[in-house]
Amino acid sequence: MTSLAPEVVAAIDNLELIARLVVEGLRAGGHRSPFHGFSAEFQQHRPYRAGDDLKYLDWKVLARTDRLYSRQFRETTSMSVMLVLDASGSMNYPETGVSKFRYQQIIAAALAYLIVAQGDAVGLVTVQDGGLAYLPARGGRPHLRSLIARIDRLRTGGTWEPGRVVARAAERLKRRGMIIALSDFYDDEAGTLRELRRARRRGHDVAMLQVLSEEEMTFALGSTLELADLETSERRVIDPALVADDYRAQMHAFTARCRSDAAHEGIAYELFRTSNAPDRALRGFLIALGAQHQSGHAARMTLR
Amino acid sequence: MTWQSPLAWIGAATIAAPILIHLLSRRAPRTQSFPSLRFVGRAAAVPLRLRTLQNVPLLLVRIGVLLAAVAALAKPLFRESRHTGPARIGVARAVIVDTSESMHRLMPGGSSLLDSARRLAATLAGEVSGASIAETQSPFDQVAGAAAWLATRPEPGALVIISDFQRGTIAREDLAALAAGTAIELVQLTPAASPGTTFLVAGDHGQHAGRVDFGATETRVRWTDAHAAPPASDSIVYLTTSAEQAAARAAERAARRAVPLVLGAAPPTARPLVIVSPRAPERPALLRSARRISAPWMADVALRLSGDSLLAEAARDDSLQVRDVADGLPAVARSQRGEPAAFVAQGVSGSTPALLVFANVHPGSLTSAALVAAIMRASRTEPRIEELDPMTIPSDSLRAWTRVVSATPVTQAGDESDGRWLWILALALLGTEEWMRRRARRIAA
Repeated sequence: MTSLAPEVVAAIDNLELIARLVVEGLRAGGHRSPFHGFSAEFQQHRPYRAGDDLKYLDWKVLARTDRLYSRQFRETTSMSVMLVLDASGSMNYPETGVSKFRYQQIIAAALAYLIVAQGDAVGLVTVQDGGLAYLPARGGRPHLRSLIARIDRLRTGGTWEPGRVVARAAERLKRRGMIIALSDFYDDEAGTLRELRRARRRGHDVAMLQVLSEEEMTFALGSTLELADLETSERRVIDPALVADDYRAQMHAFTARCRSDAAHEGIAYELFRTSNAPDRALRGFLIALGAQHQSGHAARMTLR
Repeated sequence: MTWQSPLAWIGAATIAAPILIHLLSRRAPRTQSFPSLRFVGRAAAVPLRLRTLQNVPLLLVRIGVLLAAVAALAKPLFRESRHTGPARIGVARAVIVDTSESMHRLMPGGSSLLDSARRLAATLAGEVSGASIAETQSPFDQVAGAAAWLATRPEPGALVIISDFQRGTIAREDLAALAAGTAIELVQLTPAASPGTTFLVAGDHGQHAGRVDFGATETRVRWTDAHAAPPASDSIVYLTTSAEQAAARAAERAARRAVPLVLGAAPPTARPLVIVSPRAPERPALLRSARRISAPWMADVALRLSGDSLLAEAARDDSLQVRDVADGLPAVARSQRGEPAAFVAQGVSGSTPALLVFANVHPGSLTSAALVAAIMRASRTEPRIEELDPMTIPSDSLRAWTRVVSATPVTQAGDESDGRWLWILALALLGTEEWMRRRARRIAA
């Protein structure tokens, strides 16, 4: 199936429809969902040992064989995913075409659609108009529609404190879940990483989806111009030809640092360029996430 | 090129203005939103005030506009001949140039006195606000006219006479016609030392040659050859019948006695003269080939012949042998009845152009002798003996006749100037500047 161009996807006003299109594009690729929840799925028998909970004793085996066996289960309960969205002013770029924020909305909606479709719960935490906007993680179609509508209504503006928002998302997950943070991660780089690390240590899976536009990656801005910071409104007259090389070097170092810090903390990381098709970009992320889960699968085994 | 208002060039200092404006002006770059300036270093910020020249061609055009305007205000004159520069003074100057024959003598530099006088007159006329130049062989005759012209001028008047000031050129009484406030300037030109001149005296006892040397205070005469051959006759060919040749020679001898003093050498051989008697065998052919005079020297000789009083008087009293008349050919002597006694034409003698003098009188007549004598006088190349007078008006006298009046500079309000071309250039440059600015804005956008 042909990937959806960002411009085509952004031209569709219905975010739920976009999410479905993106997810269908993913499924056409034949990839398994990487989201592994928790359920009480029977795994095996083992000889009863003193102290085992009698409710796990397999009475039927005892009746047939006169032997005591305890039943062992694999935890397969549904997973809660909390989407952390960046609605700060810096996401409203570029002002024409597909902005980072719109791209982020599409990715978030597609993820929500994908998560709910496999029976898991998804919630939302972001900052809107200076206050925290929160939607608890739930499953089901009605909730999905409500969530996507909420995402669609979000507007960019001002600044945000990503560390605080991530911390709040981790607190709202009542049990081990997953936090997917979507942002350009310009703000409070150290604080953001600290809270993501804390969430990881609390047992949550954490993913950093860094959304950047092609223009801010390449800094191809033409002749002398005055740049206005979308968040702080600071203005600076620059000659792009003079600063482009230094800017690109710093930008490259920044993304490399985000990637390495994430890898160091066991955080999944993916860089999304707004020029790339969202389904293809999302597929890359999901493959990477699946690989990460395969490696950590044994640790999830629990005895019930 | 001259500048009538050179002080206007002080305005050239205004070329600093576009440079200052260029450097002090704030740029208005387009504004573009950007997610974050954290990677755009402050050190890389471009100042809004320009520290360096960003658009040198535009700056040069602006400087060109100013320079063209300043140059136009300086009132340039591209052609020197106008000579209306700042040296003009408020004086009406009447310049009289002596053109008498003595002014044809050479100066030490090689040019004639007259040429130098004319150049000087032009220079003097160009220096003042009003000028009149008169050329005359008799400067004293022109003084009254000059005084009348000066009286019509509002400025202070000045009379300038440029001459070698031979005696008789001007006298104190001649200058009395000038108003009391009129300045008098007498410019005396001095010729190079005269090389002297030779002369011939023809008398009953033959030709005698001598040489005259004119000094500053004395004239020395030396006889060089007591019996020199008559050189003048060599250049005159007398065509007549063999039967009348004796009579012709007698007339020629008489003619030489009628011209006792002939200064200078004979007419150059490049100026051949042919006198054609009425019965000369070549006369019909020469008459057919005769045409109107076109050589200047022939015209000079013809003019002098027609003005020779002795020839005119002899022709009036003589009888004509033939009555040939050629249409369009000038008569130089006429009988009492008005018929041509002699007329001249341009023809060919041998293979060279010659002045043909067709005589209608007998070759042995008095008119024929007068014609030969007149031709000898008319064809000489040296000035008249009175024009060779070395004695001039003393310098003291000339200084005493000189009067000086103060002259004031005149305003240049009405002067012509070529500044309009520079204004046009400035306007063209302004248009170019506007085009370049718009283009720069388009590129920046």
